Amino acid sequence: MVSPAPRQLRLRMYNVGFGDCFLLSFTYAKPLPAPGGQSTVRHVLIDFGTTRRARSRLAPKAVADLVKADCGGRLDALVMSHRHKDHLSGFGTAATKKVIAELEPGLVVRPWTEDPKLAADAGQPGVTGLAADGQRAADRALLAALRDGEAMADQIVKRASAAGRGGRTSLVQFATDEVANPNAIAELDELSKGGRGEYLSAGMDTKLAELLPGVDIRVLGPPLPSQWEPVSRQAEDSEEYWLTSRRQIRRLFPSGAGKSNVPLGTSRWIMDQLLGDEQRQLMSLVRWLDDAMNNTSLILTFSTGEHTLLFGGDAQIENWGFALDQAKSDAGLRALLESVDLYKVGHHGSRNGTPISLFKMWAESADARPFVSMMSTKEGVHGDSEAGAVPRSTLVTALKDHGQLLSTDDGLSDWIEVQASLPGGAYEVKHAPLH
Amino acid sequence: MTTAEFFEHTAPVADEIVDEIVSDETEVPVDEASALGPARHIDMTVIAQDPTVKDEKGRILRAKVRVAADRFLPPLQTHRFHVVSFDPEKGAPGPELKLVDATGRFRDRFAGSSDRVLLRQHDFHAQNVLAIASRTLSVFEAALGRRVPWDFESHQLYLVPHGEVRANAYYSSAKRALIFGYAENKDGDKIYSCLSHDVIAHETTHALLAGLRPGYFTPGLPDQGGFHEGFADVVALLSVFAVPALVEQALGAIDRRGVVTRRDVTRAKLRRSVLLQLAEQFGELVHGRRGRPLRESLEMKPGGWWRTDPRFRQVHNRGEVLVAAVGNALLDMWLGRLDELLKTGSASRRLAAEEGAKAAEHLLTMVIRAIDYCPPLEFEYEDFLDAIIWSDEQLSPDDDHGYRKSVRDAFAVYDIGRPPQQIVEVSKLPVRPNYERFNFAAMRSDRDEVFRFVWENDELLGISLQFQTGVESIRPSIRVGPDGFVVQETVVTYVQQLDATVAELAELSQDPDHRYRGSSDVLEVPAGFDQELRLGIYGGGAIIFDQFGRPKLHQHKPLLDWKRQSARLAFLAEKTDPSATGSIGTQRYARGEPFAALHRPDPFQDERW
Repeated sequence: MVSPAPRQLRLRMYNVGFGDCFLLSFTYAKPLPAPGGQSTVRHVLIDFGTTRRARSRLAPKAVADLVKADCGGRLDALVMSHRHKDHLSGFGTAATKKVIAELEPGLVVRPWTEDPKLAADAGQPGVTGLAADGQRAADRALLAALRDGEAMADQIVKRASAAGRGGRTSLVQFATDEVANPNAIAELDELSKGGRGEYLSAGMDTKLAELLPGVDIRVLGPPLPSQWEPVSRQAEDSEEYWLTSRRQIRRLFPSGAGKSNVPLGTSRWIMDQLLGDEQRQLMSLVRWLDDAMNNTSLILTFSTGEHTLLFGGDAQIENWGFALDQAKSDAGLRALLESVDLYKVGHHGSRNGTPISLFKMWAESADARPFVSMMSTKEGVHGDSEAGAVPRSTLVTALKDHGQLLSTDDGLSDWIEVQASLPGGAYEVKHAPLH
Repeated sequence: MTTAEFFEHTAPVADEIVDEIVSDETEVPVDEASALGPARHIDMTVIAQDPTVKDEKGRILRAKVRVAADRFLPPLQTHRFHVVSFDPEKGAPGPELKLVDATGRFRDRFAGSSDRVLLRQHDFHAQNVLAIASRTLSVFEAALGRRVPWDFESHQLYLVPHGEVRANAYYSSAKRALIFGYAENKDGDKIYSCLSHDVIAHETTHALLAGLRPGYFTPGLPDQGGFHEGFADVVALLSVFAVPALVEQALGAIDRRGVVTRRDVTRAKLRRSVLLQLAEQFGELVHGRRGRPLRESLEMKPGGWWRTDPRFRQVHNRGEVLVAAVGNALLDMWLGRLDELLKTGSASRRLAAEEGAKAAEHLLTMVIRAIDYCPPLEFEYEDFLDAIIWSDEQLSPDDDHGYRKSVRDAFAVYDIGRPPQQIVEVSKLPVRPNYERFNFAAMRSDRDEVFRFVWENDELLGISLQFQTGVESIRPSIRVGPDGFVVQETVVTYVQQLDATVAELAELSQDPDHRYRGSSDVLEVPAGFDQELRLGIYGGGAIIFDQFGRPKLHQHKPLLDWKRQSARLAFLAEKTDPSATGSIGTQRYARGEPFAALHRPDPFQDERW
């Protein structure tokens, strides 16, 4: 039997502020058989989180209600690209998680690092998605490092709070963004029960393909550390380093600061410098954690008709690098990447989220097809320098030069939508009416 | 006394932990005069390379370093170094060091210690760092013929053997310190960077070069950025090579009978078996994190391809060119020495190793001495080659061993040649120096007096006093050549600077009167570059005065060399955000922790916007 192909695709980007929330929908001519609902439309929610509200002050509950209305009260799948707050907070707050739960997603897709079985079965063979036993040490090491890092970020925030220093140092601000969101994770774990959870790494098949007939889906990331060392290159896997870091946290923000236990003399000054360095070292750890967590992001392509959509969460170059490296020798993969014509801008438009070599594939392609980028971001939230600003001006300029860039930060619309009739209709853009 | 003679292989004679300071009546305390005069040196036991390099009995290979005598203060201080005991895990002072007693006596307690003691005793780690750092400083001072300052006001450089729990080591100008980290490897063994000879020599070199050429922190041409790392690697490589025991051990791979023959000493075999093997051992802890082993630097393919390779626009990679060139020169010089030695057909491995060590020692002196003849900024590799040749010619007019030819040929492999007329002999210039109103005595130490010379002789020097000009440093030096020939010089560096918008500078370059010596070059501005951005441009040079205060040589990087300024602008533009405002080209790299960051290279730099 020929698999039915969708006749329309729609991608709606909700204005959550600094975060991501996308509803990807495919419309078919006839109701589809199981799995999935019996309607003609299949809906996939990709991320729902924010750390700073949009300028319109659209509340997360309002976004959840919009999603519910737009998907007709039922989600076929939910994809969480990675566990940073700006991608999953909506699954954890009391008001919003109830709305999402009521949508009863039939499939919950997350990166391999979210597999609850991994935490429980560390060291046991045969866990889904992992490489053979001999290669799993690197994978387990990264997982352990991520969890340790989150715990430390939590300790930093608590210590700062106890010392009355909450939010006043960049270390604490950074660490706050890295603290795990247990409510959201617990909610997703709950939604994943009954075999509905799927945990992916690069190269794996996904059950999304069964839910979306006629759509070819590829999982390009994240690679396992055992597949691609750069995703764990900076992991400080020395046990002593972690132990020292924990001790450094306990020494943060001491009361009676200024009283040194070093005798007066020529050593006192250098000791003060070395101790003052501890915050810098902890910041380095927190930054590593941020990068490493971003690099657990799922990278997915959805190809149907003449269109290819690319979603990379907050994947940074270390994650992207795996697919880009493979594309050097895999003509099919290279052709897939070159065929992308709708790009969910990575990492809110940061300088790290869109590899230049990937962009060049599009910019230098002989096939001058219309290109649309959708960027969910908010200026002024991250980046304390020109180079570190999010979104990055040079990237924004390049995307605008190459095609149409739709940014949630450009106006006050509650959502921006791109839709196309399939197989090859042009993209049409629609904005939510202003209130 | 040569560097090689300072390193002697010693083997442990007892396998016991020595905790007590044992009185030895045969030793002369450092601060006591004997009938022969005060002691000039102290011998300190060090690890020859690092704990992974073992002798034939499987023990860590040791060596003795001869350190210049000094007054020691507890816990372990000399007038140039202060070793600090720190416990990064506790964030508190570390164990008290017990190497110097209250009377100022330093005792080397580790001559006969076991491997376990060397690896675990904090005192030994402190001694190891101090000995090698001191030795490196001494090598610099001997080569330059004077004391070498740090790049900060204080006189002592802090050495922190256990600075952090991290696989890293770096020089911090802000902390006035060398910080050595340690970490556990995958087998659970602690790896201490303070026990790696090459790491200590490398980091000490950063500190010394920062003092000699602070201007190299100014944004400049790509070679300037790469020079710090490349030069530090070169000094580390040559310092290690100057340990005969290490070279001898590496030669053992060629012939295990203790003899080498002509057939064994081909260039390829020496490179593969000795040079690369030594480099292989280098600081995996630090150099491995460069993302590219030092060994690969030495195998860099010939040609000038690196000038346009995007990877070599990054400072770490740029430095590899220098390592490759100097490595080739070392091999050539060693082969030249072995040629003499092997006239009879064979020689002992030990003698062959000593020849290698001598070649390394000589080359090390040459490259260090060359720093004085390098420009204070706007550095390019051609300047370094030129400086090596000129400075060596002053001391050894006859290149009897062909060392200068070896260096020239080695750099030529990478398309680096001597720039024409970059260093000129003042006596051959058509303009005569003007000594009116000039005090020769004051000129040796007074910056204002030297500036008076510059002021009176702008035409001679080819500089325009229309632009900001200042004397950066005055350094007298006394050097002794291999034949006892004494050369007394005063090395002066001066800097010129001009800040203006790119548009203003481009317009200035259109005026023939504002181009260096009649050049037709103008400032080329990269397409699309914001011409309202302010740009700081630099020029400068080094003047070498002889013992009578007469200018002998002038090394000059003209401010108004628009071809060079165009190349620099193009390089800076690559790194400048197109939406940048303000000024570029003047901000010196943050003096905080630039080297901490340098040791963590970004292999994906070219992928970031």
